[in-house]
Amino acid sequence: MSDTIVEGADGEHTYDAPDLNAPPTLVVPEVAAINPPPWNGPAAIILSDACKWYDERKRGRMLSAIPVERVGPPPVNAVRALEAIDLAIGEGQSVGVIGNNGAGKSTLLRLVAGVTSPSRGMVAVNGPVASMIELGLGFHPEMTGTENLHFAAGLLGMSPTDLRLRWDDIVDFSGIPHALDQQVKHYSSGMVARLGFALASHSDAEIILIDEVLSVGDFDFQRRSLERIMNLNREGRTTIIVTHNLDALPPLCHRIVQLEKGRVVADGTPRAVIPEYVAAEVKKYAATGSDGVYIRDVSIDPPAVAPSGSFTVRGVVETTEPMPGCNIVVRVGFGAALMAWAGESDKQSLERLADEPIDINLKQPGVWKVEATVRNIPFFPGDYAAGLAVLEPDRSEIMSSVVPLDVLGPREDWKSIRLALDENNEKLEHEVARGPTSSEGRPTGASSS
Amino acid sequence: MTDIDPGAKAPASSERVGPEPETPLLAAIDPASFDPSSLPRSWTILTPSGASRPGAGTAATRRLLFAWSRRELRSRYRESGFRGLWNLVQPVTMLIIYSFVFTQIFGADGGGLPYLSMAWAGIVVWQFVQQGVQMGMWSFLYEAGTLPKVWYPRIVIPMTPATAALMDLAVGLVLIVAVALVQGIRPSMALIALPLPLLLIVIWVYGVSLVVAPAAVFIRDLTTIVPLMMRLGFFTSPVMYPVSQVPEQFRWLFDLNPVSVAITGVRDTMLAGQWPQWQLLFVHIIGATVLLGAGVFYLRRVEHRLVDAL
Repeated sequence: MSDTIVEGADGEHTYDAPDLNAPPTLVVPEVAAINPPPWNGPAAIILSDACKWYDERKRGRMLSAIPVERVGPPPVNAVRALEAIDLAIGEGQSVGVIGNNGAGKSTLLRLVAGVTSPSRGMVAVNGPVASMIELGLGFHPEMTGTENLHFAAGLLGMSPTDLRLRWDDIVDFSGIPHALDQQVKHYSSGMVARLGFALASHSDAEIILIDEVLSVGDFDFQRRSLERIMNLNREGRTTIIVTHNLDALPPLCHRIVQLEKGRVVADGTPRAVIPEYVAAEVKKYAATGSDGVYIRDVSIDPPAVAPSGSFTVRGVVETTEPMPGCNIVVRVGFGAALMAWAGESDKQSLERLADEPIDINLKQPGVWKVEATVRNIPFFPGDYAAGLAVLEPDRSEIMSSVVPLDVLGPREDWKSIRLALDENNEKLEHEVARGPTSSEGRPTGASSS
Repeated sequence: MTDIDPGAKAPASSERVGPEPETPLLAAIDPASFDPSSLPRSWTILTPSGASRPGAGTAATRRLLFAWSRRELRSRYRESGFRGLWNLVQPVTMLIIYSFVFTQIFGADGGGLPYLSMAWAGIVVWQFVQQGVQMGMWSFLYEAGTLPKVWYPRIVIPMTPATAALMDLAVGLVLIVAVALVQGIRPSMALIALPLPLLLIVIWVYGVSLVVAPAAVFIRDLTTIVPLMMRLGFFTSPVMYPVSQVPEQFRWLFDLNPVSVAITGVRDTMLAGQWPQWQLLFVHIIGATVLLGAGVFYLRRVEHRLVDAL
């Protein structure tokens, strides 16, 4: 249903019903953030040769109980989270930090937040820091919303007077004045996030750290929080934003810093950094390899198919060691398109829907050019991924490489889609559980007016 | 506490002296070779040896401690039907059971005082020690949620359990008077010396918490060692028996134990109507103050490493 006609007192009205099939997008007001002028203001954050390593051994932890400074090179097995970061951020700058998981983004935020000190080098920060690293930080489930606001305000460095002055703004912004006298344990996670964001965004910290909190709450709240963050930045607060939602960054940020393996590998305008990052990530997905297995040049043809259509997967698998019992499979998964865009290197987040084995003997190392056609796919419209994978005999993954697969058609909001491969019949069976849509979140139909 | 003028913000850090430098312009900074000593005092500077921060201000720290303690008290009893009454159920049960065991099996007596009054005074002080030290030890470990995300004066965390326990201590002290009255003891002039043993135990418990709480983050074995020590301490301190019943040759051990000195001081002033042992008390108060100072110093030296070990 795209258009709905409503009979009204004064005749007929046509209005656009919310398009349930459209993929969720955020509408972010445009801000001129392209090619920012060279920053002439004073500095707010300076990192000089800042390194951070974690000594994961038990002995290392016990040694840190001794109240003496430990200098010198990192221990042999230390996890190196940040390596020699040299970075200066100006007052009022809005900086987005991107990079794969484990690139050091969170460690960078921790250093700027001042909760831990660098293992080498120096971190200097001017002014109080407000962390929006976790919304509802310090909230106690047994306490009411009001009590928690008072408590968490102290944690954020707000005095009771500050809180009293901004109370109405905070409550207004949270949009849940009716729930303030309820215990927080009865809140939905969205309500906790709203209250937490409302409070944190009204502190008078000069530096604001935001970690992956743009994706909470319903769309209206997301839009308002993005606006709020922009306004804070316009007021002159320095903001550092860590997110995998690359679409949200260009309008929000003057500057993007890309981290990789604990180092700054790119630093520039969003327009300069993000496309290259995305291109590199997509390329990385098309050719991945380790443990003697390399999968290259994976493509699917066509990249968009209709339900119960067919597509062909092509790719090259190279093994440099004998791998008896291992198998090449054609993989179809869910959620990988998103992953490739977000640069998520954590393959666990790809939900495997089907792994169809190809009868190739991997006892000898070699190069295999694989071409497999998948027919009659039983998938619902949506974003999928398809490609090749090499599996251990116990079906655990050694290596995989997938590219986005778009299954065309009107999209439904499925609670979950589970498909199991019936190997005996070589037939895909599917099982669909259709649950209620979440109480907040997507608009649930044309119930307005 | 909204400080606009950065110069008025904080007691200056001790290392940096001289006229206040200007905040450098971004364009003029080469991060690779930056000298942090050129920064104004309003900057927080983190180095491997720790942090130099514009002081959070004692008022803010005190307010935070008060807020944490109040939350601890409120959340503890919110869901229970009798609210604060549960504070009493545990010590009263202890009193009944241990009184039976100690008087009927071990043959303890009040040493000149009615047994129940004497034992209750011991339990009230011991409960404070137990709560303050044991909960203090867990305090940083329980706060693993907020510690890595936002900086606030760390000292409030290990001090919170003891501060919340002060409330129970106050209620317990009032009940000592009540139990004593029932058993025919009238308050005497010596009551004005009561603050001294209380001061001793409060300072001592804060001091121990400040050392044990961060240490337990680094050395997790403490989470089993400390409860064991507490159990030992319960029997080796004169909680359920008076010091006068301890054989003469072991008495000096009890004089070394600050918990024993504090309990005896409370009994002397509240029940026996006699002045406490001044010298012993003063020596222990000085010792506890040194311990507290050492705790504050220790926490300050290791607080920037806490998050990494959680």
